Order: sequence, then C-alpha cells, then structure tokens
Amino acid sequence: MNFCPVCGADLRDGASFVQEFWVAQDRDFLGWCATCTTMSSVVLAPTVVGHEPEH
Amino acid sequence: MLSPEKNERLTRVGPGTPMGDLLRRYWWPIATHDMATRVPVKRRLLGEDLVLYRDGSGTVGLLAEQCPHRRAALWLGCTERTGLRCGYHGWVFDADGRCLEQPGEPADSTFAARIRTTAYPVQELGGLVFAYLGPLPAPELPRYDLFVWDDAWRDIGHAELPCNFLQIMENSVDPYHVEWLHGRYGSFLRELDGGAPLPVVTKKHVKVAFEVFEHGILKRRVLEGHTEEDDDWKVGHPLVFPHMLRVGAAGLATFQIRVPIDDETTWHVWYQTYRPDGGAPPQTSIPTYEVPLVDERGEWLRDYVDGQDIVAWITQGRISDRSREHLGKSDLGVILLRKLYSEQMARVAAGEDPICTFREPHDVIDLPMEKDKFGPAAQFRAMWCRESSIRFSPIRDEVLDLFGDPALA
Repeated sequence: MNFCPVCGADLRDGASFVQEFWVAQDRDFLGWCATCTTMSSVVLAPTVVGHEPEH
Repeated sequence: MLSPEKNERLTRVGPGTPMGDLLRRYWWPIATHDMATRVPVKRRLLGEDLVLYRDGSGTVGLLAEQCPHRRAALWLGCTERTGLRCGYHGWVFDADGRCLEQPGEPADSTFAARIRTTAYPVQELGGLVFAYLGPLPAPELPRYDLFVWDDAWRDIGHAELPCNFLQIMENSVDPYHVEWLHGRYGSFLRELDGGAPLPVVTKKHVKVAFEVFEHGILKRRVLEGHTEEDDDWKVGHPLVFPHMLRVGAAGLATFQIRVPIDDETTWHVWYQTYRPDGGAPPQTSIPTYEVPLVDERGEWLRDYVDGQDIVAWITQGRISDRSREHLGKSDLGVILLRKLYSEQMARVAAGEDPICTFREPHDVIDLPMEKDKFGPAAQFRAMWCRESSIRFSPIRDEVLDLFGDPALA
C-alpha cells in the first residue's frame, strides 16, 4: 500500500502511516494519509467471498 | 510488519525528532516528590540530561545538566536560598535559567546578564514533580482525577526499564495478553510450584473494542461468562494519551505512567490511589518505593502480573524491531495506537496542539474506569494488591485494612 486510495498521495512519505497485518489468509494494510487525513484499509485477498443479503 | 523508517519515527524521542516534538507538548513526571531536595540530582527525560533541585526558598528547578561556564555537571552543586550554585566555580542560576552570580568575575562586570542556562518549567502535583520541555507557552498541567482527589491515599512505585516507551504503551491496547501472559504463563509458573491458577485474569476474551476519544483510546472487553452490560464493556478504561494507562476497580484506581528517559530507557511509574466508599482519612505523606526487577540470583522477577509485563516489554529488545513482527486481527488496538501517534505527530508538525493538551485552567479532569473489573471489584482489588507492584508498597497492609480486605499471607 504505497498510495492513498482517496487522494493518491504517496504514503511512503515521513508523516503517513501504513501497517501490515494478517486476517486468516488475507494480507491487510491499514493506512493513514497525512495529506488528506483519511484512514483506509486495503486487503490483498486470495479469494473474494460474497453473499447476497435477504431481501 | 512496519517499515524500519516508520518504526524509527515512532520510537525516537530526542530533540528534533517527530516523536520527540510531539512528546515535548506534554508535561512529564520527572521525579517523585522526595527526589526534589536541597541535594541536586541528575535526571534524564526525552534524551536530555538535566539536574533537579529544590532551593532554600522551596522553589523546584530543572536545569540543563552542564554549567554553561566550563561544562561541569550542576548536580555537583549546592542549593542556595535562591537557585543552584555550580560546585566548580560558584556561578549561581535560578529556576528560570538566569545567572545570578559569577563570583570570579570583576564586580562591575555585566557578563552574568548575558548568560543563561536551559531551564524548564516544573510543577508539583499529587506527589510527583512534572516538567515541560516543549515550546512556550506551556499548556496547563492536566489535573487528572487521581492526582487531585483530596480523600484518597496514594503510593508511588517506580523503576527504570531498559526498553523504549512505545512497546510498553502498546501493551495497554493489547487486551489478549492478559489471558495468556498472566492467565496462562503466570498460572504455569504457579503450577510448577504446586500452586493454583491465578484468579480473575484467566477469563477468555469474547470481544474487544477500541475507540479514540478526547483522552486517548478507550478500551472495552467482554469476557467469557460476561455480557455487554458489565462495566468491562459498558464503561471500559482508557489509555490516556500519550503516556498513561488507567486501570483498577472500585476504590483502587491507578495510573501506569511511561516516561521516556531516552530512546532505549523508560522510567515506569505505578501511581496508586486508594479511596474506599466515604473516602480515606488524611494521609500525612505519600510513600514512594522502587520496584525491583530481578531476584537475588539476578533473574527477572516474573512471578507476578507486573513482573510478567516488564519481562515481556524488555525481551522485545531495547527498541522492538517492528519490521520483523507479524500482526493479526487481535493487534488492532496496537495498530490504532501507532496510527494515533502518527496523526498527532502530523498535527504538531502543522503547528497545531495535539490531543490532551489543555489550554484552559481547570479543577479536575475525570476519566472513565470500570467499578467492577473482570467480575466483582473486591475480587479484582484483592488480586491486584497481591499480583501487581503494590506487593512492594510499604503501606500494603494498611491499604488492606483501609478497605477491610483480609491480610495477605
């Protein structure tokens, strides 16, 4: 996760924050952009699992 | 993992570093009340070497360690009615850093008027001496409730720990460690000695939550057999940004204060208040004590809760190498704290005040904390008096009497 998904700023600058962590097989990144102050997460998922809610 | 650059940014506390600039916006305990005496003492805070003293008028001063004259240490000095006299050539400095006397210089010299030494504001509150090393004007010294209650007893334990402050703070947003480090490992040690498992801390976590609020991060948990109606979830307790954990149960409320001496050393202060229903009788003075880290064989003490925490913090290394860690979903509190520090460093760089800086005078800042913790309050209190650093307090037996709790074996 090198760039902010919202404003595109480079998260490798000094002030922004990027932290990798794992949830089961998913590789997650939590990012905080010092340019637009958005907190976001990116998930590198081996599979995409969806479900259709009842309606 | 965290990149080495981000780890460096989060852990370096010296002057001119982003974290150092952030932490300098806060008041820090630099000593217990009984360390500030007529005998000047060396102290170190945020990578700066300092000397603390109380002069003959009762004024507490905090100066840069080295005399601006010939650089001798000012702890080699004598306190006068006003100020501190360097032991080497007798120059005198007051608590504002002004040079009051230069005995070797000609009587008509104006040299002293052009000499200043670095001096930092200090204030005393609740048995601690607080210092502010940041840009002026200093914010108000936060009058957190435990420091100002007038109907509580207090005691203050402290120890110098050989590790960076951040890994200690991260422990405060890591609820799962309680059931493993204390509940399982702590009980394992007791099993080896033929003892029963530790009570209270063995309960499994069902759910945890963290929310950033005005005082830092509020931590909530639901334990096995409990519900969201219990205080552990409904009330929770806070990590007080940037340097404290508030923990306890009814009548027993404590701060764990993590004071960065430098990048690799932390002065840990266990600040306890004891306030039974109806209040405690007046206390004449606040006892202080050093918390031992090793036993008579030089082995790390880990047969009690705080000892287990200390060893977990220290064995991560002087500065934990976070580029080699593997975080999971149970570490979201740790991640949130790192993000909060990053966010507040950016605020300071932009010229703004970070959270928890108070510019208005105030009487008291009340913080949330569970009345019942991990179950009934009395059970937690009994466990904490035995399994925390309170075991080393010189008034532990009086505290048990104060609450009407049974004496410990």
